Amino acid sequence: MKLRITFIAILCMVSLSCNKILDVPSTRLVGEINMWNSIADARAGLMGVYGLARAALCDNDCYWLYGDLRGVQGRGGDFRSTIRLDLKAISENNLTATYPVVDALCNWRRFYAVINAANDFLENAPNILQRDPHYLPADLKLDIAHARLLRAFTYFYLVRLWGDVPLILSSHDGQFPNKPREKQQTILAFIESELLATITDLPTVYNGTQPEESRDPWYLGEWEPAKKHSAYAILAHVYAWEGKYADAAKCAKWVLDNMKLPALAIGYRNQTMFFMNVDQMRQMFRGEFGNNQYNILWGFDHAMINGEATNSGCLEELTLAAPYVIKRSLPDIYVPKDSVLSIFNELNDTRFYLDPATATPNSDRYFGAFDRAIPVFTKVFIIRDNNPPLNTITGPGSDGSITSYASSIVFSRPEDMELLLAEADAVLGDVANATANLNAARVNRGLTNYDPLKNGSLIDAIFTERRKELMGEGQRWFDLIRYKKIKNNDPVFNALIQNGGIYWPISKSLLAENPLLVQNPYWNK
Amino acid sequence: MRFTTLLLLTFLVLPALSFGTGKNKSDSNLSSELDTTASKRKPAGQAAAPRNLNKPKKRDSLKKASAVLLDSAEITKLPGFVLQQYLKGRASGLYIEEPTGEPGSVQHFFIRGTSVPLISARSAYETQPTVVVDGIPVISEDHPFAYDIQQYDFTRIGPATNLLGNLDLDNIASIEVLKDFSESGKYGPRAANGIIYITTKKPGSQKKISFNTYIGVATPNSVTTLNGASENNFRKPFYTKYATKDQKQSIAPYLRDSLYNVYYGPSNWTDLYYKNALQYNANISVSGGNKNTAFRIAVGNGRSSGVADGTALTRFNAAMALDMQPAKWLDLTISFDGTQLLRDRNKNLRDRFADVRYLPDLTNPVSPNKLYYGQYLNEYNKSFDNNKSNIADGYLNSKLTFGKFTVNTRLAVDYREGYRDEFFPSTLLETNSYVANYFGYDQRVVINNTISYKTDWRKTHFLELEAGQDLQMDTYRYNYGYAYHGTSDYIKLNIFDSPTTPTLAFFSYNPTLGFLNTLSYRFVDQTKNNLESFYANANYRYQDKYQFSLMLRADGSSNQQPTSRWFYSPILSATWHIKNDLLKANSTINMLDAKASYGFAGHVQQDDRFAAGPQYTVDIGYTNEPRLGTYTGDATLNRPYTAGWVGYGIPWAYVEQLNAGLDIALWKNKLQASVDFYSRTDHNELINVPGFAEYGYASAVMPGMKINNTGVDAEITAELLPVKSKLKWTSSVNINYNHNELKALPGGLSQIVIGTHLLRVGNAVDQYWVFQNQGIYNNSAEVPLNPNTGSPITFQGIPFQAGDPKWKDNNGDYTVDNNDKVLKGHSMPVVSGGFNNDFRYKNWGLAINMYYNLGRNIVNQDMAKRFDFINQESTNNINAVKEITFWEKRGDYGRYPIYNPWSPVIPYRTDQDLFLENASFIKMRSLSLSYDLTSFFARKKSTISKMLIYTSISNVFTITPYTGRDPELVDYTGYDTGYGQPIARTYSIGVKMDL
Repeated sequence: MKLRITFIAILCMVSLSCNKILDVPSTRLVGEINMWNSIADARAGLMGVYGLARAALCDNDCYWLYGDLRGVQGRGGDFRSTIRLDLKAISENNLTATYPVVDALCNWRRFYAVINAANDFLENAPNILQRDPHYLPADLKLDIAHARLLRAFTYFYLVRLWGDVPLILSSHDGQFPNKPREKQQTILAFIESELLATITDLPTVYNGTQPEESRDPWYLGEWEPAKKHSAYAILAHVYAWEGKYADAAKCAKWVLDNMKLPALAIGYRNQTMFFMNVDQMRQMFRGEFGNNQYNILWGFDHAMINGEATNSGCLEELTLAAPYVIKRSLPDIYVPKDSVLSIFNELNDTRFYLDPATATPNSDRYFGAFDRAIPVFTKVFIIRDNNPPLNTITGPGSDGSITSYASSIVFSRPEDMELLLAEADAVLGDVANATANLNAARVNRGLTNYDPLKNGSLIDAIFTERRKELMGEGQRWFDLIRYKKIKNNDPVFNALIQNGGIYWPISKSLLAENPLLVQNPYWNK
Repeated sequence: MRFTTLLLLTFLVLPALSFGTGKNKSDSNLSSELDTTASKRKPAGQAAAPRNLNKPKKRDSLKKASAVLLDSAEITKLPGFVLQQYLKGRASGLYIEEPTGEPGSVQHFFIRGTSVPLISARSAYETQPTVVVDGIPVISEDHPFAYDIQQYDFTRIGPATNLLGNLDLDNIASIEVLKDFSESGKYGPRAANGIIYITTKKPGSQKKISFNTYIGVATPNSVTTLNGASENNFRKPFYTKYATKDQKQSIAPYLRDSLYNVYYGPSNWTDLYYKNALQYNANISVSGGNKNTAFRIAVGNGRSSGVADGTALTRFNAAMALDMQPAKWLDLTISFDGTQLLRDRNKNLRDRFADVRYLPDLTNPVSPNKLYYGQYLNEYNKSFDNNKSNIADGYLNSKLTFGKFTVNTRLAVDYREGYRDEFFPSTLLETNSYVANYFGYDQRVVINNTISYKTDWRKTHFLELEAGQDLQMDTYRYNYGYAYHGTSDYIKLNIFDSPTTPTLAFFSYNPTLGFLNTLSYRFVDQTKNNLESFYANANYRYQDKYQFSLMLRADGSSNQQPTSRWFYSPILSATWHIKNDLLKANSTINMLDAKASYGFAGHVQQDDRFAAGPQYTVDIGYTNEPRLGTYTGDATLNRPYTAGWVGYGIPWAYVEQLNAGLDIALWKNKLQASVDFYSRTDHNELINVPGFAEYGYASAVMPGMKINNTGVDAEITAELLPVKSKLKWTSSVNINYNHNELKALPGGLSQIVIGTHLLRVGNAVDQYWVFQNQGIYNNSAEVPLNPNTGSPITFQGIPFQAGDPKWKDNNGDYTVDNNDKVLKGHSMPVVSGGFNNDFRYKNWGLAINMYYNLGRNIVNQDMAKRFDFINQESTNNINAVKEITFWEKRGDYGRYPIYNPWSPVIPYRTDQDLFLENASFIKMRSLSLSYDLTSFFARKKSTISKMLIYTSISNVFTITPYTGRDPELVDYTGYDTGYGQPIARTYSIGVKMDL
């Protein structure tokens, strides 16, 4: 009888279960209803946008492939591929070649992921105010400024790479209508207005002294969140891209004038910005506290201290090789020796020059292994090492055995703004100011003042200086477009500008998936 | 949670309870109910009545509707160590891949074609049938959710051992393959991809000891080896014909110096790589009992070794089953099976680099010379790669009979855990040591209750009613961690269990504990899902002529969204025993049955993310860094841009299957045949539809894919010699023809492109999407010009040049691109099956077992890689890794034109029909000779009641038009990567003995 009761008990127990047992909440994801409920959700959502922006620029190391490698008929990036045929195709403008990396670079999906995440944040974060009393209107206001800045920056990248692109300003959850490409001007106007709006909401520094700050130390960490300087720096580039040099000059000047605001020195970390020497600049790429990280006006980091050092997504993956790292006998890309010698052709350049007496380089801060056929670009060199990160990096710091890279993407830094201002002033005809800024930059690198006889026209000299200073920082291709637009004397490049050849082709898969898209005319063959 | 605990408690308490009461009851049986119970007991070997309850009912016909029955006598003659190897080619409609001869690696089943496009390891998992052992649906493969943290899906993290390796074939009484729903409907959604039903040997009340063992040796085939000189000769024509001055100077570093002994010395690495390999298995079982209890205990140990790379699988197994009848109305069965599997894995560099997530410089391959290869192996031997799986299955079944009612309750637990510890010393990885530890488990609890009622009316109308409830609860979990660059090669600690150097040490520059936190990575993940089912079944039979049955089911899955949690389905089947009805007098026809069934089964989603609907996840990794999850140390959450948008309103996917067949037996059962026609359609399947890039998504998960598999299964068995002949010859052939067709895509799309696959409505999902190769442009004059523009035909914008392949421009637009690709070939066989012959003369037996695949194609990727050496060697890419087998000559180099390997059109791409080959084959899988000594011992009145000795050769030969290696060594993707280890010829002897 006891048995019979037991069995009946089991039966009853089992039949009680029914529907409840089918509610198994996933521990691997956050359902829609559980998101946007707390201040932590807001933080994770916003950090997601930052993370996606980094992913968009790190994917296949595209930040540098777009900026430093792409070339056309001998113009463009200073870097060359050693053996990789896909990278060779990029440096030779063979952008429809069917290498996976080239095709990935033609695809803008990951940029739109940033935009979608930002749109999603802007739509949903305001709801948190009611749901979590800890989330204050001031928090929301500042978070929104970050999201808008990231979105505008991403659109700027899209425009620089593809020209006309679809403009999408809501997340469209669940329904994803195809959108055609929008005129570049429309998008640039949108970017301008967005960045101008964020300028008001972003603080100049995060140390608890600024009215825009919602709380201390909400944004203080081993990284550089967007601040007023970031918005101005991006805006300066946007205006320069559009040829609105007066506005570009204003923005760049604002940055330069506000590098040493007294408020920046308050707090336990002095966040004052300054013009760095080459060693300080190389440290900066580490993107960690104590390594001049505050000079990164706008960028994305891979700080080792946060466990985000990576095998891919940093310039070092492309440029480092033996004898600096054991891993590889040859780098993927390098600057050929004759290019190096023709670009760095002035004595006493603290970056690089060949001592005429000994025919040896002055340092390996920019180029190492110069005695080899293929030199190694050592400017950006943040790898895992056994040295404490607080040490200065004057050379390779470790045995180079495990190549976990940790350098930041630096979109803009004081030297960039200084030279951009010089460029703007030169275009605007303010030769005196342009020369002054150029000279400041040159002297800071050990060079003599600008000499038209030796250095060519002012514009040429400014762009040469940018080329040297910002080598390997993803700027070269876009600088070249501005330069060619200013000079307007290169028929080949003028044609490229005319027919959209300065842009990237739109990936075949994107065209197939969205019939409203039309290929850039140059690539429509 | 409380519920689970309760259940577990019940499971623990109940056996004790029943043991206790059972014993008391059986004692009283002894005295008072002796006669009745004794008469009720069945002879040994058939005593396990309770366990048959959850097995599909046997029909009146000789053969099951669409099942194949392998009995234990047959099983013993088949080659193999794991279930898959035994079943290959044995049942029509069951296709089993064996993509490598490495013992213990995962092998996939496919019953009646594939129900999903086989694009990734996940998709292969989704299409696996359920293996049911004594009524327990067991977990036959590790859950693929771990692939989320992997960049490559070559093998899953953890031991990745074949989880069905725990089945010792000596413990198995029979295996049935249930394909149509009349047989398998009881398992509901688990039957969607078919059922492989295994019945283990039953306890017997008569004392019996069985001893089965074999020992064998696998021998490697001889191979032609290559060295630097031969590789250099292979490359010479390319350099003479196409290389520019620069290219001539930049030949691969390892081939530069012809005096360099490491590469140009004798190529004798095979001595260290291919070796004779030992195989053995031994199983001893004891069964016995008294009138009320019967038991069987078996222990076994076996090892299967691969001929290549020192691979092996070792198995230790213990099984116990107990039947009790403590009361007339109660039958209890308790069964437990525990297994440990130890696996010695291959040393493939690709797979190890994928584990390590770190690619060293790949410029120089491993040396083909024994001396240098041996030095490398010596270093490798300082590493370890320990793979262990523990598998435990158990159940408790009780059957209560009250007159015409039977109540059956079963509680089953299936638990499979895997451990993997990996360590590579700094000498192997450019002064970096690496350590990784994995522990994961798959756990399933099944509770099943049925109540049935059986009655008849004047022995004319027979009625059987059954109602059942079934609950299955699955949990999958793993802990995984890895770390780099330990302070010393002597520190090999488990980085998951022991603390590593705290972050502070990062600053203090004093990593004393071995591994830095900044170079240690840890992952924990878990997924659960529950499946609950209710069903009712009515079975009606009129005399022995007509039979109808109807099943109604409701199945609920936690992996479905709350709005569509339940799936309701009917299954209808009918059998007409024509012989009994119309042909009673006919003496030629011994049996003729016509049968048909039609029904539906839900298809459970394996991933819990579909149940959540729109969701947030961590997705900030990128191409070569999928693991990154934080930004500046902060957690991130965003939409699943890479994995694909998941919306609301995802309905149940389900399978609709029509089956119609005929079973016939003629001439005193000398000829038996069974033919089944089937049409199986998978509806509402989810698929990632690529698109929506302007919203950041790589794809959106959408329901609505519909795939149909239509085909015929046939089996014919014939006694070919007269009854009086002393020589018996039984010949049997099984054949499956399958036609796969994609019927619909979500949203009415007519085609979608996923990676290198094109899925087009109206075509099969296993086709290759390739350019049609038509030769070579020998010179630039041969390149056609577009008459409109005057410019040459291009490959996606790149003009063709001399030395480029001539790919057919199907749409005539002078641009060869994806629009010119065609769908060709099939990665799954169109026709497959087996052909077996048994000869018997007195006590001698000879069995020949053949296996064939027809209409299957494979892409010789291994060959394509060899020709594409320029691209391969110019990237530090995991697919460009050269294994030691790079130095083995495989295939015929002369078949392929000499293209310009530097061309940006990538002439030796795999998505062209140049490398697509017919991979049909027929294989002699085994040839075995046996001698039965039973009668000899019977004459001697020995205690030995049965004895059989046998010797066999397996994998005797293969006939195939494929020019590469054994065409079987290719997995579901259809790409011959060259990674499959040979399935070696094995010679073995064995003995089977009953005492």
